[in-house]
Amino acid sequence: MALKSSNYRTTDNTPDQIPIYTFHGGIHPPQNKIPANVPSQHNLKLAEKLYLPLITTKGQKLTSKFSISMETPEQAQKIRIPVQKGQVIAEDPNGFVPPLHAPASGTIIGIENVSSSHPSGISVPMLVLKTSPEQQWVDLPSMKFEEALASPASDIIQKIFQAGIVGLGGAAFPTSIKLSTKKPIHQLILNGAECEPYISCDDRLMQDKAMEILQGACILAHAVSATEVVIAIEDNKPEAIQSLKKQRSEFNQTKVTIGIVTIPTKYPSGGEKQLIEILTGQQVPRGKLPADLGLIVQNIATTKAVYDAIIEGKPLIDRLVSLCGDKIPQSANYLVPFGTPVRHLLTEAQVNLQQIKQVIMGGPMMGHNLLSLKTPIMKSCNCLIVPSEKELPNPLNTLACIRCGLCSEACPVDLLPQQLYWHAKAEEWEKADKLNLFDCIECGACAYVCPSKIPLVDYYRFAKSKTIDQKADAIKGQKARIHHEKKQARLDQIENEKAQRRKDRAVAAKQRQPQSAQPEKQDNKDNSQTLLASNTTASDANPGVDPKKQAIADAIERVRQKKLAKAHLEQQIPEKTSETGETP
Amino acid sequence: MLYKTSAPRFFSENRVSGMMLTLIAAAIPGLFAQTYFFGWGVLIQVIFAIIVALISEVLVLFLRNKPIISTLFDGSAIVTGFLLGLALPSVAPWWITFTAVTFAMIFAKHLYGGLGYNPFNPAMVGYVLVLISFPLQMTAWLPATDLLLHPLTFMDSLAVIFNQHTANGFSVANLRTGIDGYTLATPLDTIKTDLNNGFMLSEILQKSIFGDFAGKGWGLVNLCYLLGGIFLIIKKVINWRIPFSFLGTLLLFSVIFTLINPNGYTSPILHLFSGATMIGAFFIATDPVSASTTPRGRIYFGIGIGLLVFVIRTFGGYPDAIAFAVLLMNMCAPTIDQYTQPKIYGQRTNAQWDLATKANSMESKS
Repeated sequence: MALKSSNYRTTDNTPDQIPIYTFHGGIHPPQNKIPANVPSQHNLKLAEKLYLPLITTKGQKLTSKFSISMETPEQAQKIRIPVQKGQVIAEDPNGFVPPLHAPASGTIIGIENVSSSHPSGISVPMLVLKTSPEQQWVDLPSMKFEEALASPASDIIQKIFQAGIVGLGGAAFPTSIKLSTKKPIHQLILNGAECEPYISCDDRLMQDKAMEILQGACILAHAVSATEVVIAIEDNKPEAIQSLKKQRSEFNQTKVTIGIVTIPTKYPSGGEKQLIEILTGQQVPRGKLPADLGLIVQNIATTKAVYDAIIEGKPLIDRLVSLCGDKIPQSANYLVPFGTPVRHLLTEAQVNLQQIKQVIMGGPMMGHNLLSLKTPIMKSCNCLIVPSEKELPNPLNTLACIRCGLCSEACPVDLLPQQLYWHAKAEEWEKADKLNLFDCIECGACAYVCPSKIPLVDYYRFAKSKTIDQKADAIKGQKARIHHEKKQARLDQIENEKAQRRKDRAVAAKQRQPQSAQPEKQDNKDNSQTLLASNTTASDANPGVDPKKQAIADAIERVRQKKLAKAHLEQQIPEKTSETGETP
Repeated sequence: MLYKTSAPRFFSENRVSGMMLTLIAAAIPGLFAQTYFFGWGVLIQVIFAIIVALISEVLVLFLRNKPIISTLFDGSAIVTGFLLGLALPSVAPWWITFTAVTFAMIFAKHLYGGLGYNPFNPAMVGYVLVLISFPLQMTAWLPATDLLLHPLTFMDSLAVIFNQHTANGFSVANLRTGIDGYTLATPLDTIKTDLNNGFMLSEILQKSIFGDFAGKGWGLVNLCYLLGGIFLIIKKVINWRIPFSFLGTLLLFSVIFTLINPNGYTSPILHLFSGATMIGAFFIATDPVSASTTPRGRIYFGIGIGLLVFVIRTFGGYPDAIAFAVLLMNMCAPTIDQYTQPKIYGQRTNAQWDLATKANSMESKS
């Protein structure tokens, strides 16, 4: 990796002047970060009803803290559960996803299926919270900054979990799990790159809440015992850099060194792995985590949330959302309580809802369209775009791929997008997988540069989900086979044991009556030819027994044998079907 | 009410049609130089070839039930016609051009599925078809205009191409006669024939056709294509890898052989600036559809073409070899791509990572 340019490299040894590297590819789309210079809107009118999903966009289920029975309409109408702002209302029984808190005081009036912010717009059950005019926080256990740095790391991490904090950059991965790494961490990287066009919520946060972010960073560094903090910011946010540097000079602490590093504007420098490469020149090895390099990356908004949680005791109940696009008269960053329906937010921002053609959640590169305006804003939503047709037009006709290779030059992961597209289009999932389909971060740089305007990312997402399905099927089939084989082995063992017992019995009987066996053998032969033919062992084994009894016993044995054989046969039929079912 | 679009919603200004038009624009200086040195026939061939290419494209699109207008204006048909027009001899009869272009469009392009699916460079397939089928007409190149005994007017060129004779009754064979009364061939052809006849290079270069540094007219035409090619690289329409590795290989081998026997082999300058070297390197070998697409693969692809061009020019039966070399390497492209996949993020060796793992293993040992 070559050093980017001498502007970013000096002999000076301050933590702000570290060598900067670059990653492969990347693009320079227009920025359109209009709300960055507009003061944030902190007094959004509270929506009448908030919708709080009980299933995350990753599919993890939360269970409500209250027993809500909605079997009959009468029961459903009677639900009135008062909650206070900041109270835990739902939890993950597996303890993986942090709890969900009531973003406002009010009453829970039931559960409703509402279109979620998942790209598919799938409806999931959501708690409906009717907000009340008086807002009252639950008791907030505040703490001094010095106390926080003195308390054990595990306590901090536990508090971060309890405050419901997840990565606010978009992935919504539980922060506490990222922090609980056992690997030694030497550097905490704060991701202030915010490389995607339009989005400016982190920029605004750095301008307005610089001291909180610095303190939050120290707490995070303390939680993982890191001694260095590097805040990486793209050079298109000079105010944010200025503000952080100013606050740092007033910030009195000696525990960690805080570097504020300016990096060149290039999409997608805010990708976790890309940012690590920019700052260290190292790549996170495949299948490893940043922690394996002694690094941990946190988002700016997450850091601010950590400050709120530890110092002020406030759980995560709202976030800054960039509201932009030509159709929005008052573009700004709004502080939005979770559960606020998009319709309410847009109405408050004076948007003419009649004229809206599309609403994009997330940035223009990676965001997805909302299918319903009732969808609530949740933790991972950093931006809402309501564009005019002229602003983000539908692409022109898609042409054939001419294999020009511009996509592979733009790919930050060094993939061969045109080959992946080729295989995805031909539905050759295994070949696409072999070309490292799953290393694709879906940043959209390839589709951006494509001269044929092929929606490449759609093809990759489709291929990924198909491959996942196929692998899941394969595992299922394998499990079924192993299960069946085990069952068969068990049946065989029972059968063998039975046969063994019979043999033992026969031997024992022989030993018991050794003398009387000789004379009666002749009678036995006379008795029944079929008997002898059918079960010589039995006739040999019980020579001294009454022939009639013997015949009855033999008949019973024959029936049992038949039954067993039948059962055996039935076992084999499902085995065959399961085998054919595996290879469609 | 709300509709869905796919991410990303931002697109660069880059379009296939734009790339094709830039390609043509970059070749215009070369076209003018070629017309200046070798007569109006060049321009007539190019225009005729483009018209035939567009007509055959429309015809096939109609038969294949494909949208005609949007595909027609992607510019690929124009580029194929344009390059073929430049590649054919300026006085070749019209039916040669017609055959080459229609074969290129219908068989080499559309029978494989149209733009993006053709494994071979269509223009070169058309060229090789007529080169093998009609060797006499295809080797009938005119020398530079000022060497001609009977200089051609625009109407003469038109008449020769479409009627085989000028108004004065001259045929192509008459026209190729130089001022000194000999029938003139291209510099590379002359060198090949004369070297085979036992002449030394220094003797051959005394002939009138070697006026400039690489044959009268040819050197400047190639220089124009070189400049156009560099413009394309700056504009990011083509990548530097294929042309530079091709030219580098050709240069390397011609230098080696010249050092061995300066009078027995074509000189490096002639290799690089005569024949179709520059247009081949920047405009033909770089056709993205049929070339290799991986970064390393493109280098190998260019080296392969350079090697083949040198070998065929020096030891083969044809004076020039761009078309054969490109087509042969087109065949290899899928295999090259398969074995030259770049290392993706996280596959590279990592000094820090190595240290960390070492430290870890030390720890676990202690």
